[in-house]
Amino acid sequence: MREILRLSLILALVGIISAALLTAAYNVTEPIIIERRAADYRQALENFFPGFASFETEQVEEGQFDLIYDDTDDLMGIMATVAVLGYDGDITYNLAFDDSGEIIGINIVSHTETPGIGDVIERGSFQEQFEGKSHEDPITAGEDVEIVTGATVSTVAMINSIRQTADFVAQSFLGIEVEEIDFAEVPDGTYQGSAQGFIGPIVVEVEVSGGEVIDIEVIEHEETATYFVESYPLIPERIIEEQNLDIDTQTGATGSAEGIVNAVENALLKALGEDVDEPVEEEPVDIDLSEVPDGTYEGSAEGFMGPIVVEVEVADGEIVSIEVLEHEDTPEYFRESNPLIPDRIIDEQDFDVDTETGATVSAEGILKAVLNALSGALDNGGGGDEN
Amino acid sequence: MEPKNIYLQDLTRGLVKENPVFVALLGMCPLLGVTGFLFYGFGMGVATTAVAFGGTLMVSLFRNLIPSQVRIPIFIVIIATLVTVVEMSLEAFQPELHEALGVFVPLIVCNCLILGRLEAFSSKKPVLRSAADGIGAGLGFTLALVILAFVREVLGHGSLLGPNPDTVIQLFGPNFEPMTIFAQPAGAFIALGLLLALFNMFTKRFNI
Amino acid sequence: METLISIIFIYIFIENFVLHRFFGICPFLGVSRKMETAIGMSMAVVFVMTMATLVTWLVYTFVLLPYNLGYLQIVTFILVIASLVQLVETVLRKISPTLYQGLGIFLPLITTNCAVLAVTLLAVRLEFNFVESIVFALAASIGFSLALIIMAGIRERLEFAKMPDALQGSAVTLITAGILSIAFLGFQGMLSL
Repeated sequence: MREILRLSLILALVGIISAALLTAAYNVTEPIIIERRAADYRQALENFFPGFASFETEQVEEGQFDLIYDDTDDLMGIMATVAVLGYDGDITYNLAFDDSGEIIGINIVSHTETPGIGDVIERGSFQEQFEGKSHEDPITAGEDVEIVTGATVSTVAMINSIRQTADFVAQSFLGIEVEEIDFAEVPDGTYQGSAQGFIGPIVVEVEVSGGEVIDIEVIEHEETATYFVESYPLIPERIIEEQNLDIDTQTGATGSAEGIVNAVENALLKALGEDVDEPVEEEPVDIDLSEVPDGTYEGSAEGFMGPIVVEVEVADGEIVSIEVLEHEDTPEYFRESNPLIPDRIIDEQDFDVDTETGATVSAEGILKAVLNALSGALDNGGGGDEN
Repeated sequence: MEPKNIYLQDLTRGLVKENPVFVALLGMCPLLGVTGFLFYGFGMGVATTAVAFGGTLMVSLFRNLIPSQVRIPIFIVIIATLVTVVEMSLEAFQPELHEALGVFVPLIVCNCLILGRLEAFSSKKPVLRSAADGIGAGLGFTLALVILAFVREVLGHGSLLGPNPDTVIQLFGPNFEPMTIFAQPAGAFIALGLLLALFNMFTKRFNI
Repeated sequence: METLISIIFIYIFIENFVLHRFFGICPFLGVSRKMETAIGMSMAVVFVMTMATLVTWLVYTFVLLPYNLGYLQIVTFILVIASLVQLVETVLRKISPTLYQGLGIFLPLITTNCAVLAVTLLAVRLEFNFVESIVFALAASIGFSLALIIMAGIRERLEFAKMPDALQGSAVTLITAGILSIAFLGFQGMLSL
């Protein structure tokens, strides 16, 4: 019994000595660690915002956001310090934005990713792809930024976190507020709206009744069908269920999903009579061919690599021939759409043709060029380039 | 045996003849886990050597005071204390290395190499010899780490002294496609297996 | 619930402690010669890991953290593990002397099995809650056992394989582990937390 007591005492003594030593070591190293981190941080700030004068820190749930000012107290940009769960523990990083919300650069503060694998997030080649991106870009793996094979978990975590941070910064600090739409204020009716999807514009029809969105239908889109199914009808269902546009757009086709949300927003804003920026691409024009006077018309539209110029010949209210005069698309691909698309249009005497070819973007371009030619013919009061 | 050479013997024994890795297969976890880059491997080696040196010193100093029944727990507490100090110092002075090594720094506690030296040598032998023995074992471990990390970094990344962009030397042209498998866990096992086979071959042939 | 299932799957297959994270390599090489000892070791590890995580999580959350003693983590955790191993050893010696003999030197070496310390440290560093920590420890130890038992199965056959002298023993075991690790790479990217 005595022996056990003696041994326990010795063990306890060793423990106490150890704890005392560690407390001493902790007190010595902790200030150094804190100071080093602060110095590192100022250095990181200086790299992204040369000549900054002061910064103001805001601590929110999403992370720490520093508003950087120059010596005339103008906002130079924002430095976000965010943590995200990577592959093995948190990755903490800085994301520097300029005053318009564009990403200037990334700086990894700390991570415990597997050496040689997950630490590719520290590489320039991974980080540079985010530079110049902002809340207006999809920042989605496989769309405008690439994951690093073999380090999928780490890189996907980073990409998603960067997207969320960019959106958050734009909304919370730069006043680029995504306007919340009060569905209850929208008068009953069916509204059309469009927005840019991943490949081309997405046009939706939104039906509102009793202050609720009851139906959303995509009337037109140019997205790749196999991906689009991941977002449609899932996204409309989510909007209808939540009666809110602030939904999770994380799907297999996030670009398309966000396109749908934005198109719905566009439709509702129009319904509310707000001034809405029309997307660059015109809405489809329904052209009654019988109204187009005979003649040959030229029209152009954007193809995959550049403008496509077509010549359309109309006789007796029918399209007789379509010829592509100019295009800049890769010939090997363009062949897949020309003369297939012109043939289809002539066959059907309609513009609702299937543009799914080996070169869908070119096909859409041809179709739009034809439409432009004909609507131009109508606008000019039947004048056009009539021969 | 001349007394002058005892210390030298204690020091060098761990390098080849009783190399903790190649002969005794100790400390495998950090050996595989941190050898993606030469710098990390070397850093791990130095950290382990520091703990081994401190541990052997302390244990042999107090070897007559430590009751044999509870010696193992005491050894472990000593090692754990030293490891914590090393981890704090790394975080303060070598933050990059600290982040890269991650949880493998606290896991130095579990490196059987250190506990093995304490139990087999320091608890019985005088201070200076123990210290020499501790440093020797640590250096032997560092040697193995450096060799494996060298192989893996050259094959897996095509570079040396990475991943810090200020020091990294790209060994091959821009068209070089690294054998990424060696940067990954699987490659660590295979590279170490082959190194071990090589070591066996040489020790047998030259009868070291 | 979803998180728990993810944790189980991830730490058994994707981030297998032995084949992907390099924790617990010593017992993996040491006791994988025979299936019988491999199973015994696996059971011991599952028990010790889960118990250790349970205790260390409580100690960390309710003692170390409130008193700002985070820096005593390593010392405390290793002591908890050492005491637990002592307990398992005593119990095992009483209940199954054959198993005790079979495990021989490796039972005390569970203390220095870095997988056990790693699981307790990671449970805290990954900020798992209590239930998640236990499930994490269970999954990690099952992953360890899986690798150990697969390896034992392979090594029992390797005994009879002809190979150059230099490759025999640990060298070929490590290379086999490398190939196993490549096989487990196939699970990568399936899930994340």
